[in-house]
Amino acid sequence: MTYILDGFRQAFGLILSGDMDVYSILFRSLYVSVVACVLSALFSIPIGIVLGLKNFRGKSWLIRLLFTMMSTPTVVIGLVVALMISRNGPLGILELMYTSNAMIIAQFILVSPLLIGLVYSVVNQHGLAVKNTGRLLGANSVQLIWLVAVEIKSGLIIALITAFSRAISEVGTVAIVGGNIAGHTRVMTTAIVMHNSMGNYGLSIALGLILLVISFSVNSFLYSHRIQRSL
Amino acid sequence: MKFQEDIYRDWVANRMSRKMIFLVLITLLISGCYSETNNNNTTKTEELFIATTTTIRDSGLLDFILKDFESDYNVELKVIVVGTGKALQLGKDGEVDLVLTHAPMLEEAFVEAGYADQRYEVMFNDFVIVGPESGAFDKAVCDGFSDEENILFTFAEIYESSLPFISRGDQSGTHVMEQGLWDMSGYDPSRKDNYLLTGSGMGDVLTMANELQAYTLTDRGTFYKYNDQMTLKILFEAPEVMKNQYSVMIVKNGNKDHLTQAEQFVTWLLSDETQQLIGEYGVEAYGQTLFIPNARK
Repeated sequence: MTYILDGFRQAFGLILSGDMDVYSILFRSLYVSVVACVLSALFSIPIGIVLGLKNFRGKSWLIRLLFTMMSTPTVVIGLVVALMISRNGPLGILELMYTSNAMIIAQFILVSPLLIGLVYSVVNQHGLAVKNTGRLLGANSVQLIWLVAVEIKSGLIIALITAFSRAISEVGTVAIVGGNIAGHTRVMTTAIVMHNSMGNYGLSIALGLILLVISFSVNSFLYSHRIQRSL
Repeated sequence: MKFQEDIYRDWVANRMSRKMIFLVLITLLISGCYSETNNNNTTKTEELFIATTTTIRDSGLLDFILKDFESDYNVELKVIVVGTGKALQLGKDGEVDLVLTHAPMLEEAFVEAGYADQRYEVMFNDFVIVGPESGAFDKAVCDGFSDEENILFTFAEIYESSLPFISRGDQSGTHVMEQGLWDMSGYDPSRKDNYLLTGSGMGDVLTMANELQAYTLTDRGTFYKYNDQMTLKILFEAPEVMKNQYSVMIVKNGNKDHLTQAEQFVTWLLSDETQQLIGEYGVEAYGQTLFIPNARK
């Protein structure tokens, strides 16, 4: 039992002393997940809005496919990306394997279906009225997408935060395509797995606590945002 | 209108609850099937927890020898595969009954600290330095020198030429050996950009070295197991200096009810038949002995 207490003591020591190992891992994690989410947002939000507004043949199947992809296991995505970018793979020439860029690509693929799906749901519920108003005021397609995006702002923020939570907390893709190389591709989740498998509980606990604080602050932001809206 | 809506709502709710009941039944059915298959054979089987290293699993030895033990003694072995550092930690915490590891210095410290009564040597092979076939070491390794001197030359070459080197970096037996060799060479690679600490198992590190065309230290067993999927070659070997000794220990903090089985396992592992089996592993598949049994009689 003492090892748990020792672990916590060590963890607080590491966090408070500003241990370089802990913080460089933290910033790398944030960098990878934030970049992946921002890129995915630029790509997914317009697609989600169009999907929500437009009707076309095969749409119901596309939506089903999208919702299936929302729950794809992270390791499967890791595997597929790794096969693509490994040295003998089709994109091997780009030398992406075991780099931060590879992790960003994998997380981009991971969160995009989620973002598209969530945006689609919101637009599906609230978008039509906005669309009709927009059309009435003479907006073109691009203006229309922008108008809908502004109108469902809170929905978008919730979708983005959900996507970010999935990205920062997953370990499957980053372990496979990143390789957990110290100072290069080691992020919080892979570091926790590794330090646990080395019997290094202090660092695991420290990183686990930081991860919890991040999800707590992200979700309290979400919560306060929701409260404000309902007022 | 409202009336109609209510009927509709009831109907939906009804349908939902029917679906829920169906789902629950399916779940029960599946779990029932699962536990049944599990229970069939466990009426008399005892469990035994053993922590061992990734080199043993990745070399394929475990699957090869353990089947016999389980069927002969009616014991279900639960194998936890981790680095040597963690294996010993699991032993200290009493999570496992046995540890099968390969870092003699750490193991002796483990016995000295009173976590085990004795360590029994089981088998050995050796560590080799592998990497892409580039001829980088041809000038480094010289005939007229001792193994120790050649190791020094090899590591100096890796360091001075900034060759990419992948380290296990997980306090495993292999990592401990690698650190010892760096110490011996007098170089400290930790600040080098091309020195990659991965914290992964042996198989993963070999895959990574192959992918990045980098150098690494591996045990011979795992290397031969992965050899046919890779373009890496053995570039340096010195069996006497880079010996890789595996030992088994019965953990004192382990489950007391498992002690008989744990002793049976050690006796079995050190017995002539098992030792012979270990010696035979790999000859058929890789044309090479991967582990040399050396239990003391």
